[in-house]
Amino acid sequence: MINAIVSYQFMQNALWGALLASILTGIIGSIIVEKKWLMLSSGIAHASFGGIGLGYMLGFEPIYGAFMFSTFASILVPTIDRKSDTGSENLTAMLWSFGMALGILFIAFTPGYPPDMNSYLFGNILTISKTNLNVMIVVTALVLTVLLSFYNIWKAYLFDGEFTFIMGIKTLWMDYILYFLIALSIVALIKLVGIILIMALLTIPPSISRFYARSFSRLILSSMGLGLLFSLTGLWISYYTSIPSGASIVLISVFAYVLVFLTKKVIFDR
Amino acid sequence: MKIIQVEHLSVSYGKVKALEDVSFDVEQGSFLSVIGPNGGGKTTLIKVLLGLIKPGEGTLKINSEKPVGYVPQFNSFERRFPITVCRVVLMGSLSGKSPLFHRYSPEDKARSHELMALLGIEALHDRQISQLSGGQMQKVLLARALMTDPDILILDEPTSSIDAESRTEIYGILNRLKGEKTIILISHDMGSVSSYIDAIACLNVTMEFHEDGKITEASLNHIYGCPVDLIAHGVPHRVFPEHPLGGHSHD
Repeated sequence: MINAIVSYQFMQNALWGALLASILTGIIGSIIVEKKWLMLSSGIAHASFGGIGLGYMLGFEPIYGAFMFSTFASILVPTIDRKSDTGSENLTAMLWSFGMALGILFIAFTPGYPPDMNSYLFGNILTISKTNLNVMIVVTALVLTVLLSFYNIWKAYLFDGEFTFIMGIKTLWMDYILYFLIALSIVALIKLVGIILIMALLTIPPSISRFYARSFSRLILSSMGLGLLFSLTGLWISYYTSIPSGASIVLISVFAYVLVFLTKKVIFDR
Repeated sequence: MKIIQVEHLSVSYGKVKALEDVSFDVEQGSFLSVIGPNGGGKTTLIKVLLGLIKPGEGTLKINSEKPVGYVPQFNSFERRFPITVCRVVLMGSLSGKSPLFHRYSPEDKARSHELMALLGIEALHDRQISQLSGGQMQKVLLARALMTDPDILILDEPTSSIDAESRTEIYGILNRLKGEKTIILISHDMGSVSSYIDAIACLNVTMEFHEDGKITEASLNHIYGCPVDLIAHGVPHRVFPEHPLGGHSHD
């Protein structure tokens, strides 16, 4: 595999992709797990499929279409939720399916031979392009800047948003910034694990890290480390077996979770 | 001085009235206990006082520049969040003016140590909050609320899920803070009516305010909608008027 990394551009892209993805999932995954925004995040991921379809139909980069749809969904759900009593879960489910349906519709209208959607749905780390990589770099830089410049306030907000509001901090803005960053991050990760499998990469590393992390920064760092480990192992398996990377990364992650869970049970809870 | 002035406050959720024509004043440095059944509008009243929801009708005036010190219920945040006691207490020093790349100053840290010592939790400094007992957690939340040196302290059901010993301790602490701080304690628990209080308000959508801190059986029955046993736990002297033997007083 080392030879391949040196000689093939796609392998270098895959490696960079894995590294950037682990930074993103470490941060965003930890936040999603602590905030319990799993349904919302999954909804945003699926809604972005509509944008991918739109990109194919109109002939522009599908990832940009995905950005449009995911950002739109991430702002729409909490806004409607505040103003009606439909319930954010119901809204999310609706937008989730609506985005998928639009995607299928747009692809049906796409002239010529229908494009292969598998790499968007299930991910393929070996097909990460230079454009994907640039998108990931921009999103990672943005997420890191926003998180680090207000780290103590983010931590207080994640722990107890109501108290943070009372202290005179504009938590409504923080809500929207976070929804926006989640939407961007999810789209940036789509090529790696795909829309359908993305939640595993976002939630499993923090779920494992929660077993032992004693501070929020360690939760993030540990999740980054695990994310990198899973992505690289997945890449390695994909390279030798040609199993799609999304599937191999998710399988490795779940396997690791079960292993850590059982180890902890056997060693500490006897 | 009146630090809180509430006049004809009403709040509705759709067609359901949560608070109706509630009026009361709170004297600076006094200790007010608000009691009432669950669903009686206690949470709504807190949210209005904290500025989390706007009053539908009526006015609310708070004569203090500083943010209110708030001690929430346990279920309002994630107990499993990976964070230590000292970090939670330090959070109380954050504000909308905290700069970019904010770090806690030595003064903030010194103050958090001081407050933890005052509340007897300095030994828990590096403990994970998930490992705390109910009483310990309550003191941590109280220390966090005191970090900004607030004029007003609002506690939401502070004694509902803690043991009797911690309960007595927390009342002792509140009694020491009284005078310097205005304290509003909200509870469905009659045991929270202690001898320390200056005024009691009974809240069940409408409010009955008892400025002398005495409460009558009649008003309690009215608020709870059924006769209530007047039992005050661990109270050194009576807060309820003596009932004549074999009879019922409705004064």
